[in-house]
Amino acid sequence: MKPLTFAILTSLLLTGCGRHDQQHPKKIAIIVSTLNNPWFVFLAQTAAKKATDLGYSSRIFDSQNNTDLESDHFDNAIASGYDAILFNPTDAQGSVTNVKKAKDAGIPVFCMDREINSKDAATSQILSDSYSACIDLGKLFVSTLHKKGSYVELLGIVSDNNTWNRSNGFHSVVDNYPQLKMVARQAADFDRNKAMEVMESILQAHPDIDGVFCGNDAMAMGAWQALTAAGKAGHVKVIGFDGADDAIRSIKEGKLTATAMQFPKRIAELAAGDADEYFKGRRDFAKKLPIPVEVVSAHNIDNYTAYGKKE
Amino acid sequence: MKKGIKYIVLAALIVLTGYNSIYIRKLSDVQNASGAQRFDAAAYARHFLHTTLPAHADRAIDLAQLTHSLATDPAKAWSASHALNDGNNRYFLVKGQGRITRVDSEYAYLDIQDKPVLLATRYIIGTAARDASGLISVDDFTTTMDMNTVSEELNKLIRKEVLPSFTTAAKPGENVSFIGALELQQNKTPPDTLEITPLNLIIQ
Repeated sequence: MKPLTFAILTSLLLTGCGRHDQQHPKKIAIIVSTLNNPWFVFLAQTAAKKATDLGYSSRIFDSQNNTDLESDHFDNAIASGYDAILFNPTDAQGSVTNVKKAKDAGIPVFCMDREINSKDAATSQILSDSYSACIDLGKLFVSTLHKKGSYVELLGIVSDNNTWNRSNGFHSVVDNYPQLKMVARQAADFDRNKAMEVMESILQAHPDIDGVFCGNDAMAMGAWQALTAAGKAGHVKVIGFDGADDAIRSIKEGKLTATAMQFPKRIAELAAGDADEYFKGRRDFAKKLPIPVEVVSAHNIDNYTAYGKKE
Repeated sequence: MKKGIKYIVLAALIVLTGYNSIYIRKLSDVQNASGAQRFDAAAYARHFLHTTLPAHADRAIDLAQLTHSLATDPAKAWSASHALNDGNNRYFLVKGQGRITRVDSEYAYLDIQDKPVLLATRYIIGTAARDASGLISVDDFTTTMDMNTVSEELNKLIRKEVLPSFTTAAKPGENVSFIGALELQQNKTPPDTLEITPLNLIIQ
């Protein structure tokens, strides 16, 4: 091949590549545990918006709290040539394989809110500090109930680390007060309807409770509904976790006692920002980044709105 | 007759193949054999309290100096604090000496340069003991649950091993020197009375 022809062909090829990159921006897959909970919808949509603002295309995948479906989404994302995955896992242990699969395919994974049981599979994990927040919720619970009474705990999904970080943080405080007695503890999978059913059933056996600690706001709202139906909502103190829209309104109306405000906007934007920096060459990400969570009660409700602080 | 032998051989083959195809083991045995060793939070906490912390005792800030610094140069004071997240709750590793003025079921009350200080003797709660030194990082652990269990184990050790001899001996008028953890909220003015989670206590 003559040198001139070679030069022309090479320059045409390079120009073509450049156009291709501009016409087809990098793609980010946003795989979330469920879109059946407004908190995760907000998380996913915020991540998608941030990705778009940064110039990337994105698509949201709903795992419906099913690890098999989540695995299919990962296969799909890998086969479809996605360049990064912003990930909210369904199962701390079960999701590790999916993240490793993406890593092996050279796709960075940035976990949002929920943790996987691995230090090195994900590029980074941006996690709410649920444990510390539940220590504060536990202190509030103890003082609200004046250190005595019977209470119920509704757990989230038992294979999720957030479930146990919240429960353990709460108990690390409350268990120091022997006159506070937990009369029932059941899983309601972070689901409002399930929480209502579970609470209705618990109330049959324990009608005289004083408090309910729930691992998220959806369950707190479900428990509140059951307590209202049983005519006990005025007396029983209900605490949730998340800072969801209906929980914030409920605290304002004097119904729920408290929640813990996670900051999904910050988590989602950090994850999308990390993906952007990864594309630009950065590799030194904190393996786990705990994001502070703040207690919201009638005392400070005016400072907060759904999913965050008032600006 | 030949047919019978054929069936027996066939049956033996099926049994042999089936027997070698299916293995039933306890899930716990499989987990243990996988090499994934369970994290021993109690041992980690014990080593941290009795070995790591004493080796880094020079990290502790004098409490009187800290209170002065919080009032006169807050930026410098807060730069000596630690936390695992960037929220308002911050933790200081502090040391000091003071005279016991009163003892009740929850605290030993100290007087340090005319400032009231409470040494917690009953409710050892929260992550102050874990976080105050800044020596423990979230990246040290496979899961945040492991890291949080360390906090609970540390608090248990303080209740079991640091406090009993102190609460038995502590009386008003006696002098005590301590290393402890102090939690303050960065968005609030420090309270007049500071509460310390004890890590090491010596009655002099």
